[in-house]
Amino acid sequence: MADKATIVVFSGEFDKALAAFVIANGAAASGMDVTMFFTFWGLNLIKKDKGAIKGATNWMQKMMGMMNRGGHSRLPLSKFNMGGAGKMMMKKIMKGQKVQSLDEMMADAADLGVKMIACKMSMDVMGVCKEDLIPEVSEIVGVATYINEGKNSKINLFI
Amino acid sequence: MTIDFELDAVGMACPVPIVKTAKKMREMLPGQVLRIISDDEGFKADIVAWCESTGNEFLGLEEKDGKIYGTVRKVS
Repeated sequence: MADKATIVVFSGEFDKALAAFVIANGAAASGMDVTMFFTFWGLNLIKKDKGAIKGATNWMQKMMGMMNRGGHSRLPLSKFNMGGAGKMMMKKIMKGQKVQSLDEMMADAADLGVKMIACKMSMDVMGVCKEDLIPEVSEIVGVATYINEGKNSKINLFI
Repeated sequence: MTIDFELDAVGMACPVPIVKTAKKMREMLPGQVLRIISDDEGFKADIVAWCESTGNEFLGLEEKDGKIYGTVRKVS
C-alpha cells in the first residue's frame, strides 16, 4: 500500500493555498495517497466561485457569507495584499516565473487523485452546505476521519 | 540505452516537471525509459528524490546549453 500524506488546510489565503497544493501534488506525483482536509478559512479554497452561500440559516451566517466570499480566485495574499493589488502583482510575477496558477494546481490535484474532504463542524459554523462546495470534494467528515488518516500518514501538515 | 519517451518540461516551475513525469510514467510499461528536459535548477535534486521515493530507477543527469536532461526507468 502506498504511503499516505495528510494536509490540514486551515488558512484561506492565496499563498498558503499554493503551498498546500504544491506539496499535495508533489506527494501525489511521488506515489503517495494524499488527503487534504479543509477546515475553517480553508473552506474558502473549495467553495464555489459565487456570492451567497446556500447553507446559511441566520443573519450572522449570511453576513459572514457575504464578507467571507468563497472561491479560490478570491483568496487574498497573507502579506502585502493591499486590497488585492499585491495579489495581482504576485500573480503576475508568478506567471513570469512560469509557476502554475492555483486553478491549474487544483486541476492537477484532482487528476492525480488527491482526496479533498471538508470539515462538517466548520461548515456548520460558516453556514456552508455541500452544494456550496466544488464537486472535487468527495466527503464531509469530522475530526475522527482526520485522525484516522493522520495517524497512518508519513507526512502530516497543518497549513 | 534506448530512450522510449521524451518529456519537454522546459519553462515549467516546480512542481510541474515532477507532476508531468509522474503522469507520463502512468502511461509507460515497466522497463521503459523516459528522458525529461527541464530548465529548472530544482529539478536536478528533485528527479533523484522522486526516483528514491517512488522506487523508479534513476539513470542519470546531464546538463547541456542551460538545460537539464534527467533519465529514469520505470520499475513497476
